[in-house]
Amino acid sequence: MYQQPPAPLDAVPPARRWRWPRVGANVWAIGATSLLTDVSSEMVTSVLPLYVVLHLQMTPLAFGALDGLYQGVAALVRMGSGVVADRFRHHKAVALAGYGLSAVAKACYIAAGTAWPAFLAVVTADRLGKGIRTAPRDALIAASARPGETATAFGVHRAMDAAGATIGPLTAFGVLMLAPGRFDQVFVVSFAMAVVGVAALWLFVTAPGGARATGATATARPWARVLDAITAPRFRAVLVAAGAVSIASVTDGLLYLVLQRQFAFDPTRITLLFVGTPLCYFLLAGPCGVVADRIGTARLFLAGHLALLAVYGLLWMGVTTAVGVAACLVGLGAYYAATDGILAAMAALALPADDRATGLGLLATCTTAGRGLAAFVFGALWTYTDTRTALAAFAALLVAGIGVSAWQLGATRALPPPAEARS
Amino acid sequence: MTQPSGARRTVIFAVVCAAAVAAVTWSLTRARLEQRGTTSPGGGPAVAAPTLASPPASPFVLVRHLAPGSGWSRLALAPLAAPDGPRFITPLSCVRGYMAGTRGLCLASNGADGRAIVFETATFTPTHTLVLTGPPSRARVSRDGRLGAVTVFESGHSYAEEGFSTRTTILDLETGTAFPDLESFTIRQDGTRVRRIDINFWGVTFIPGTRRFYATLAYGGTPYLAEGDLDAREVRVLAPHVECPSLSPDGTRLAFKRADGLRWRLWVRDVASGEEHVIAGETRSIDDQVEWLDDRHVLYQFPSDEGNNLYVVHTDDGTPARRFMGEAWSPAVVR
Repeated sequence: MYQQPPAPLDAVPPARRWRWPRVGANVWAIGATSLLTDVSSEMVTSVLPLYVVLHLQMTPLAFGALDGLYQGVAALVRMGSGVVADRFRHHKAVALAGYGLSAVAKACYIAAGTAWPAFLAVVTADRLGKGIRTAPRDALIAASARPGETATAFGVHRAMDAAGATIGPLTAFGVLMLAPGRFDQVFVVSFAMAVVGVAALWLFVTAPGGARATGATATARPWARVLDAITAPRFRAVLVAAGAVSIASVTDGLLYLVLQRQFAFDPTRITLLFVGTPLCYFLLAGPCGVVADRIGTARLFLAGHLALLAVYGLLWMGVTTAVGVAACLVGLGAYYAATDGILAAMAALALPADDRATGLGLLATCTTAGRGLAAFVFGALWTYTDTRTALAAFAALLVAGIGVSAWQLGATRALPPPAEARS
Repeated sequence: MTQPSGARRTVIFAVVCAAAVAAVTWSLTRARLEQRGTTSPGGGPAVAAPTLASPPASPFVLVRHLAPGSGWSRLALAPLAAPDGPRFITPLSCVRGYMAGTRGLCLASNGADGRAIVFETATFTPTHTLVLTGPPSRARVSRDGRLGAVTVFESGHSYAEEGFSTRTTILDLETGTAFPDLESFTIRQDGTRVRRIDINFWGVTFIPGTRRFYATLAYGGTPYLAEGDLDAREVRVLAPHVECPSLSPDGTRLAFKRADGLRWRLWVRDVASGEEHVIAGETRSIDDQVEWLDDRHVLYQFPSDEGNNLYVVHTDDGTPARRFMGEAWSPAVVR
């Protein structure tokens, strides 16, 4: 089994000049799996609302409600899969199960046809797959990263993920241009991509630390250990920090809506919104990881939220020029690049290797719930007052969140790193 | 699952990639051939359906023709007396169409965005083209052919949520220009002005001889029946839970769809009294802005494993719905 090289080899201080991130073959392989899977899933995501309404004749409201339910189920599954992956030390096997389930679901979209109960079952399976794979995959990345380059590894992974998210919708539109109205062809291409992604994971990703010596005793009381890990001060600080800013983070969908209302209606610019942010995310994720490994993940995480604060500010002032729109997109891309993978890296560094998937799963559940709450509150404020009031309120909330986050993350420096990290 | 090592895994991966590429190529090629009409959806050779050489005399029905062949997805005309007989295939290729009086609307789309093509009904020649901001969903033309309405989906796109909204544009078909955004109209409910950001319009039906219309207006998660006036730039909210209204030829009744849990049911509403009843003859979930065949029957599309058929149902007497014509979509009756 692959083991991380002993510390002295890589303990050389990071080079002063820029170099291509040396994240190792395993991280590239996980990145390739995510890229392929994201192309596959974003293809479906981008056509799903239309497919549901045009072909299945479901009410949008019903779909929205069910969608919310699935998100909740996925969040719980995310935590459960982390626990299972840690307990049986098979991060790769659990991730493979998640990717595999989603791939099978893509094929079932075609088989489900116009029968909506079957369709709902397939959507559930697809979402469950996503819920299952996230935490063990991030634990795999953390375990595959060279010491001192955890954030770089996550940055490279998230860049590849974002590339998939950019290519996916474009591929779906391409397929629909080749075969107009043939949603089944979108599912066929999506399924093929998913299968190649699963193959990449199975064939090229090794499972580091699969046979850890401490395993036998560690699995004896998994839940107690889990509790110990997540109540350890270092990880708890990350959890509180991430939670505090997540309830002040408005989803990009809502921010696009604000932009659309402020900026003159023009179809080409709307397309730009959808491609612009993932593209900036893709370009900035890698560099953000490298920078985080030099100056610390906490600083970059806070800087990312300052970028989000700047976007709120721009929208509050009113965006009326193309330059303003571009600034918002770059700001949002930078926010994602400096927070998403960086948070995972920060959490992974604060967790003992044996409990990483569990902790990452719990963290994802908390931030998802926080952002869900934020979206709901922002929507309500916007509806019952106006855009500027909602933005001002959320800017204030974000400033408070960043304050709490800075205080919590500052405190972690005084705390010892997790036990396993010392070995 | 054990992991193959060395050269073997490269070979396995190459085989998987090759199989994926081959499967996608085969599937896409087949789909394109089906649409060109070289093969039928069942895989066998297509049977060329007889067509009419010239447009039939009114009354006729305009549909989107969905039989495989060169006419796939074109607008086509069939006489009301023999809707399943030979059709006249127009040169216009659209996902949704409507015509009345001297003008028609053809909404074209590749699945991601779209164009609204205004055409002249004597020769089916386009007169104006407008870019749409999303895939089209509804089209209507006023009886005199002067006004048109187009509804498109604007799908949300984000990492965290999936949602979509609609945008409805009313057009002056003579000049090919759009009226101001409906969302900028003064909206009143029970005399009180409604000021909300989450307002959506869809499914317009014009009131003949006027510049007024009925439409769905939704906010706060509830769809309402609304009546709009293009000159006064006002919209009045009338009743809740009414979507995609369609005004009967005599102007006395509105057929509409109403959500019933996860499903849609078709209903009829008396314009004067506001009395409503469900159309008992159709129990399936129908998502369409229906078209009136006459003052007592409505036509609508319903996709199923039996194909893309249009159905007809009596609005009041409970007679079960029957198939009206096959391989057709988006009906518009021209009397």
